[in-house]
Amino acid sequence: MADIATVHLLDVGGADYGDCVVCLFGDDTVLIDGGHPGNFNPLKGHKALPDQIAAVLGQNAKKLHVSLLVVSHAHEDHIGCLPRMVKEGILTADFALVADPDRGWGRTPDDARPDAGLDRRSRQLVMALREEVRSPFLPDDELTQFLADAVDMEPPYREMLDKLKDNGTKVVRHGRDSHVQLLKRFQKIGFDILGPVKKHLEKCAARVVKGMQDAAEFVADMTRDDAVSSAVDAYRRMMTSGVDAGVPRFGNYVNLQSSVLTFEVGEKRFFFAGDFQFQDPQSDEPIIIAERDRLNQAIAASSPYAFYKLCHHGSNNGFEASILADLKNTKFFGVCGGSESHPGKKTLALLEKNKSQLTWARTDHNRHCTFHVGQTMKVDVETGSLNDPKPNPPQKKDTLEQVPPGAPPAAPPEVEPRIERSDDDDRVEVVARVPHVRTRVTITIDVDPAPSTDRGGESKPIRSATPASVEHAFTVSPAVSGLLVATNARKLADNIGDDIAEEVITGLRAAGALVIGDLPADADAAVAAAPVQAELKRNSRIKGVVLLGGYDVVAAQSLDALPPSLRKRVGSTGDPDDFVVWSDEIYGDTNGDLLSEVPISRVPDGRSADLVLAALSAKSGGGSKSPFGMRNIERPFADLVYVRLDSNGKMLTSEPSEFDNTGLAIDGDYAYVMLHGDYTDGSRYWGEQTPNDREALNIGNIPKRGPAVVFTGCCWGALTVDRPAGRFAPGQTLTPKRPENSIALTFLQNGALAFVGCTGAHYSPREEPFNYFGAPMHQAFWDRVLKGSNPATALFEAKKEYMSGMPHGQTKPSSAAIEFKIWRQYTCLGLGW
Amino acid sequence: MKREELEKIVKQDLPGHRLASTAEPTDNVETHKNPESSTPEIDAILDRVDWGNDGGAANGPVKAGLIAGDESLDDSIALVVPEAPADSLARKNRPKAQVFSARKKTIIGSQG
Repeated sequence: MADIATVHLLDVGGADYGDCVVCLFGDDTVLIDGGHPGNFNPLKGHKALPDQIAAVLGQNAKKLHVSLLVVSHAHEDHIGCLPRMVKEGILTADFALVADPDRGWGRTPDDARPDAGLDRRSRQLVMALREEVRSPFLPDDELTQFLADAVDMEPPYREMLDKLKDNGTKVVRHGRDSHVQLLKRFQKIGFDILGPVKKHLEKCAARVVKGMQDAAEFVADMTRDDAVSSAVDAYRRMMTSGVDAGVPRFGNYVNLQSSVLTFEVGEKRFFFAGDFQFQDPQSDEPIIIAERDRLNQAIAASSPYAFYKLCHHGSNNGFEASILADLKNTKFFGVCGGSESHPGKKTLALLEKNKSQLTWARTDHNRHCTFHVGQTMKVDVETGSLNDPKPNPPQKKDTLEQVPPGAPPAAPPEVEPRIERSDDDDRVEVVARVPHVRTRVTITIDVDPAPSTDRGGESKPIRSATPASVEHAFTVSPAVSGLLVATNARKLADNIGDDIAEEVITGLRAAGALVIGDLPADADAAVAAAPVQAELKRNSRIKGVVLLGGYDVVAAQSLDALPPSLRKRVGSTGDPDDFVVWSDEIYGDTNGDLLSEVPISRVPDGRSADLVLAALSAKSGGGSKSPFGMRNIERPFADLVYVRLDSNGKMLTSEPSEFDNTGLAIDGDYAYVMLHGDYTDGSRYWGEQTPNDREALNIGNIPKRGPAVVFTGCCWGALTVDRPAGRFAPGQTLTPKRPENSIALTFLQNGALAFVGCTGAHYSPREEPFNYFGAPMHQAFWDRVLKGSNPATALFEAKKEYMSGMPHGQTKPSSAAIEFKIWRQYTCLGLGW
Repeated sequence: MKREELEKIVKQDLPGHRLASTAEPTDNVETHKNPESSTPEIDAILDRVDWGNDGGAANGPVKAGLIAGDESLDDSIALVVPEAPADSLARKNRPKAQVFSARKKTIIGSQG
């Protein structure tokens, strides 16, 4: 059935914020806002807005016409490229409902302009404070563009209004001119202007005037002793000094001038309100508060809506639970633009919480979003998935140096690089002398040796198709078909190289895996897991989840292995982890109990492309070769496990076995290791009573083509970072282990399908019949592998069996706590399928 | 369990070892009790998780009386070190947790 109406949220690119909406209401077309000025042209892979509008309207991009043009309010991320389109004759309209420039820029009748006497740099700063606040941590080019747009926007906007009039457009300034003719013209599409009322607009305008005056004084003071800093540096200095330094911000009073509009077509209602801050106007003006309340009531009275555009780019100050409740049965929401705080985390969490009833799309993640409104609703997005709840990551702050206000710019440092080449080891030594003053120096080193000497670095990430892809004939295992692979492709690329990361993700998709490549970066596991959980709920055919990357790519969760009631009873213990372990299970949890509903495995990258390529192409060995077993002499229970693998064989024991014994050969399909491990040194395992405490096993014992399945009861054997969860505090840095300092990662790099082990300290039973603590888990795992389960599924099922048998006779709180820890901490590293 | 009691059990079950002193750090890094999340109460888990058709849940921790009621008879987890390690700095010689049964007066489990 044909659409009654269609709403297009256009792609406004990667810069902060921005709105551009095209509505097709029968014969009438409505264009609301024009993105950023830079959207006039294609930008960083995003299509030009004129081209997008043309495609939607089915018109020539050089000659666009709409029935109604709306400029919701006078911010540059909404006015955008409209002035240029109008000026160049690209865009015409029958009617235009526009923001009043006098109120938007705080121009008073006496034409007093607080910024009039300022130089361009200072005016840029003042006008930037009138706009939506931009992060001072944006790249130089984006801030330069923003500051230029902020100061240069008013004249062309006024010229645009004049030009529209000249072209015959009926221009209506919201709150200044009569709306009667406009409303009458668009009566058939149920056009209504809910507000704000004139009194509110005047109050906002007065606050903009005051803000301009305050900003002009502030900027004049700030720049008095600094005549040479760039506008970008001065802006950064201003914005990082914080509100305590008295930086006046008044962009909210421009947002609050946004036109609040509704349309009704075929009994379907549509809602648009620019950047109006319905949740928090950030003002204590009674007139403004009263108008906000009146509007909220009016909006609720007109609900439900077939489509509701979240205000202010989904910011927290535009939306909240009570507003959602007032919208009654409104189910479809759109968000335009994006930045670190837009959409807001609270807004996203609210949507996520109600996702069973709601559908939303957002241009910052989905680009062009199309809402088809008919007897049924349909939403198309250009990329990504609907109902994406991921907040945008913060801008990196470590790229900036904080410069105190008034500090003169540092003179360019004198750097004298001295480069020496060693013939012995093919390394280049660079020495740079930097003056001992407060400064920042960027050093770029291009090393371009002759091909015959280029061996590459041992540990640095591979940035292109280098030895890793040449050495491996990389073919993703067909077992990934039907699996959900989750990663952050950008972070993964940082660790293993852009080309390899792309090759891996392409290969996974080609092999039939469903790949989520844009998990939130630098987010905790609960946030990062949300899109994975959502996909699992949507697609019941997913067999399992594979996390691709280390904890710096896909966060693990620090988990108290104990239920709260048991935690209270256990009190202080000698457990080295205090029963807190790293866990990945949240990624497979679809019902909120932190237990996975599907098998979970993780391919830690170990900062090694070789590891990732090997792990993703690993195959099951089939178990035809003799297994390998090695245990601590004090762990006889392990023999009872090992007989499952080899009824006639015997585990090596340490003592007497040590790593350099000639009989130590790991050459089977399965390996079972029950030795001591240590979280500070993952490169070796120990037995007991060996002379001089020599280790039983180290990474030198792992063959180039190792066993397919490795199961260990070694403490911290599956720990892939330098800190156990029980010793990790927020704010601390986790350093990933690499194959050269981890037995687990070396096994994976050498072709293992899975390394199953503990992220914390393990516990073994000492009393016969050895049927508690770690033993039942070991047995359950191998039993399932021997019956043909892949290791990821075997561990998943073994955990179920282990839990159902808990506490295996250990009913005292402290011993039961150990059972809980064993159950929660076991982890499958590697593909596992 | 009292320290004297634990020391006696160590002598009996782990000759050549002693209880680590309370001032004897396992290493130089303190532990933190700030996990992002915790395991739900076991009855809540059992209510929400389908553990398959093997009847496992019915025989699981709740039905079996997971945790004994008398706190004074709780088992103990305490750190033990070799009395005369060949190399006191070797990582394998750092204190290791042992599990002491309050009822049996023996070590029933060991770290590693």
